Amino acid sequence: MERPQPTEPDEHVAADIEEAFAEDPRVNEQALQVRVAGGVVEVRGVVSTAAQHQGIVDVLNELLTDHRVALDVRISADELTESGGEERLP
Amino acid sequence: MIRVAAVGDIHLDAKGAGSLRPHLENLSDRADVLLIAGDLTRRGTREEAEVVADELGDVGLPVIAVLGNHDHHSDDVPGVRGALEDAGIRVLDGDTEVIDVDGCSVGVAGVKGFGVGFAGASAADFGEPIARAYFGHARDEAGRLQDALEALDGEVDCRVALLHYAPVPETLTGEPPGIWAFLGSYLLGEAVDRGGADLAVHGHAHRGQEKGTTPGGIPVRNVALPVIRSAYYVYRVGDGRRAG
Repeated sequence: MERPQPTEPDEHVAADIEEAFAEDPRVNEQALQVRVAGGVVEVRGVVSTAAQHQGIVDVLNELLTDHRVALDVRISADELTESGGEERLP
Repeated sequence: MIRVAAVGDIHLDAKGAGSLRPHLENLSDRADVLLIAGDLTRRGTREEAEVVADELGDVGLPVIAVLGNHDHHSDDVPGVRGALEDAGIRVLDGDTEVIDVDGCSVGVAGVKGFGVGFAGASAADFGEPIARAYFGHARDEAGRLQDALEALDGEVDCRVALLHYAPVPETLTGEPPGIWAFLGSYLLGEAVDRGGADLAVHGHAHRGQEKGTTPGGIPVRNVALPVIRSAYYVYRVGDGRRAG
């Protein structure tokens, strides 16, 4: 994965990060929302495991040089319950 | 009446081993069958599928799955299928499985499906060969689903369509609309309505919503784990009548 240059437009930086999240085996997650503005990278979404969450941090550290990062990423394994409920269908 | 438990997008790998099984201990008291709506693994390797097999094997009720896009990533579908089937997990790909519970039968028709979008924002069978091949895969998947549902017509008390990709846009609400074409297909919705079913379940849309309905009135449920936020959800389907 090519590291985005500090002078690159925010949209290109966001696209490069989304591509890395999808393809990097430490993350492999396509459903993360990435927004880049004002030197800040915001990442939102849900991953399955703590290892994936750490993968996001590692990927961002490798890709970014000058941006600050704001993570709002839940780990579904931590909030998993048994049955979510039951519904009777007609 | 049959109790159908369902979940999708469990995305297990070696680091997820042991994370799901503890939540399935009471499953056989609460449901008659467990459906897995694709993306059982993270990268589609046999090793990951063996983790899934350890989590889902021998849970005390039949387990029926379709594969998802993640399960295809390493080009080892035979390895993934083999690991699952060695653990007694039935993997559907354009075919059916019938479960009988106390004289009431449910037929499950399963395919992965594919995403080409929905009315007003969909791909078409037009243009470059690769574009036509892309659409053709979605059309083939939908056709095999309809055929499988029709094969169950009159043979069982109720029918369930098991998919990875979404058959309606309603359950994608919450996902950016710009990616809906990668998450589902109107062709699958048509197949469900034309083939006939009491319920359609799918995954793939982690940021979507649970409930939807096909244009023909069939309930659709997005059971992606991040949506239902639990190891499974239970749907009671069929009232003893023979679906037709």
